[in-house]
Amino acid sequence: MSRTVLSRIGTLLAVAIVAFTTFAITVHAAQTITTPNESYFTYNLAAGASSGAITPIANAPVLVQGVQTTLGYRGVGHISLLRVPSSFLEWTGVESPASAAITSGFSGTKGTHILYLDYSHLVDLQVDTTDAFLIHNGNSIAQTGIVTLIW
Amino acid sequence: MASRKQSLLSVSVRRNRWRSQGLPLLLWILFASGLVIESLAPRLKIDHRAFVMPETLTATSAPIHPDAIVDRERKMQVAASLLILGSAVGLAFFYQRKIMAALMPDKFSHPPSL
Repeated sequence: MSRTVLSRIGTLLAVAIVAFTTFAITVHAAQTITTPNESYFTYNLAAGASSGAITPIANAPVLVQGVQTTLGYRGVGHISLLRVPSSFLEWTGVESPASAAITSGFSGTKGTHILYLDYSHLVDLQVDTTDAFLIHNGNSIAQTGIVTLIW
Repeated sequence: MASRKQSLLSVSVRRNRWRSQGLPLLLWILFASGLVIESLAPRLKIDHRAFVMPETLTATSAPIHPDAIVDRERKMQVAASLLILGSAVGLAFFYQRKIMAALMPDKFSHPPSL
């Protein structure tokens, strides 16, 4: 194979790599920009375990929705949440069945119940700090589910 | 007069050297910077038009700031795409003859006959 042909192949290969990389990164960036402010957490908590503290955006309404997907304990609930920085979390919403009731209140005290996510009311969102909440599994077996935040 | 000609010549030589060596090097550096920024971004997966937080985040007790993570992801993606897109266009212009010669070897291999 002559040097010219090799050089030509090399050039075309470089062009293809640069073009593909540019296209892939630009498309991903466009997708990132156009995606709404919504985040999606999957949790898989052992018995008695808690997730990391989730800090929602401050002084803006945040819709928190959760589903429990473990067979026999499935449930769904949601709240609208306000974080007042360094002061408290305030919320109102509907607990998971069974006996889905309104949940509302405000607190900055660790362990305060916010929202049940499961049918047996053993997995819930709790106040962790004045600025954050966490997912706590009070069940004796591992529990899985999804929590979404829209702000 | 001769020294002025010499200085003009040296400016021209420097300009040509910048055009032939400095400019492509700068463009490749910008392209590589874009790749580095892209690799350092949180690289959140997007599913059902929502950012998916990795399960490792909720598994640990470390605090999670979804809005900050999403904001960082957006800023880094924009910076990376601007750097990469800009440098790729620049590289395409700089190497246009070479690229055209590689794409259409018959047209560009011989100088046009008079």
